[in-house]
Amino acid sequence: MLRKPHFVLLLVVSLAVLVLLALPASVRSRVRLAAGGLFLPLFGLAGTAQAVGERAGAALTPRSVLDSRIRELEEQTRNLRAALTESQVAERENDRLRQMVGYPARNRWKLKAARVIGRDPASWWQAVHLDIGAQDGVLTNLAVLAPEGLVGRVAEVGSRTCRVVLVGDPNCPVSAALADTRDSGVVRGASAGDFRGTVVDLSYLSRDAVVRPGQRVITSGQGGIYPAGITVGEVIDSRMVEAGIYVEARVRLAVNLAGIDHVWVKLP
Amino acid sequence: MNWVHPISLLLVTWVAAFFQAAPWSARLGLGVQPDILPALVVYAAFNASLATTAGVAVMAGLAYDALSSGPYGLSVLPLTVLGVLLHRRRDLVLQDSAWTQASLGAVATLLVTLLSLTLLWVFGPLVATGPIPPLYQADYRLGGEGGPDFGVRLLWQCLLLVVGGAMATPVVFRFFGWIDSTFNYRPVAVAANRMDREIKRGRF
Repeated sequence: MLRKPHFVLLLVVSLAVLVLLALPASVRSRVRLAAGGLFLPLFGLAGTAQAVGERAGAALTPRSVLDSRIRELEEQTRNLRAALTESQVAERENDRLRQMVGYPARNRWKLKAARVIGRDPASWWQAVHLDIGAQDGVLTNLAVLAPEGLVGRVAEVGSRTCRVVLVGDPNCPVSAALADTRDSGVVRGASAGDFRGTVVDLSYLSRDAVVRPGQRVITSGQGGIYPAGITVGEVIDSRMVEAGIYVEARVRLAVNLAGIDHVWVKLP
Repeated sequence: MNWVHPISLLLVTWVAAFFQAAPWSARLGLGVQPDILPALVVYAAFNASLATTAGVAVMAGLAYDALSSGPYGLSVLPLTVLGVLLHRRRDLVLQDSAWTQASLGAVATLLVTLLSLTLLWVFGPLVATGPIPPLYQADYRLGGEGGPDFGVRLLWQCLLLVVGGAMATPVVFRFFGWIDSTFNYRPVAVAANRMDREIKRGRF
């Protein structure tokens, strides 16, 4: 079927691919990051074009609209300052009480803001690329958050960029719990009924778990990667699976992963 | 055919891989990112040398994997198989018809998708993840298989990818037709009066 040059070429490429796949994971990861670095000029160009577009849009916006937006933001800032003062008081009180009962002090979260510069080109993986990397103190397996809740974890780190696998990706299971009853399970990609990646499954819930639509799902903190208490989403419905061995709930994610453009990486 | 053709093919492949990963691509709101790399390999197989076809397939695979979560290098093989098979049989296909191009694009995308998924299921568990730090093992152990789940969603994605491939291939053929006509010299038409048949008149 194949002529000699075709056959030889196919053989050479197959061998090269096998050699590449046989490399240690750390070496393969470095090769991938180096190849990904070739796209940095295009990512930079795309970012600049986007910024120019936004600036042009702002220049065309009428002054009255901008003024009302400024007033709105000032009002929002005042409210947030008041909330911050309140939470600082509560935090100090919490620290004092922890000290009194001999509880270990809480670790303060160090968050690093990042911009989403790319997405996974394969439809069956859920991942994004961020514009921060090892130079900014990012390490693998750090939690990535948005104001609405959990986004995912850092999977690979380059010097200036990193790749984040999102909640619902096969490589991003999350140990989670129902916020009110504390029944815990594992969040994975949805097995059925979702084509857009906005719904995930909360599996391995105890068969006695009380699961109701609308219940909030949070990270349980048991897995080691994600701190406890971060919102994952809310329950849509539930069913018994594997002949009633455990309960599985469908969960609508709190964060619209298709639309995220800015996130925070929780630094150690 | 001069150097413009292979260079433009490789350049477009690189940019196409980036566009598939660009944040604004937004997966069409359907949860599927159209894949135009098989369409580029189809075009290369019909209009370029075997070496250029292989170059396009290898570059497309490596560029795609550089931005993807899959095992690095795995996408090279399906694209190369597609390129080599089509290059071998290219004289048997009427490639100028848009309908043929669309059909080829659909079949090529389906072949690449199925081969990629098969390789992922075979090799994925062996190469997808490296050693996991002990602290983080619980999150991995609890339900992470490391490969795409087979289900209705995957079938839906395959269907849309095939439709996308069918639509992209005629566009790729038109685009490179335009590049070719713009940057390449046209072959000079053979004149009806041949110089060697000219009657040379002597003195008489």
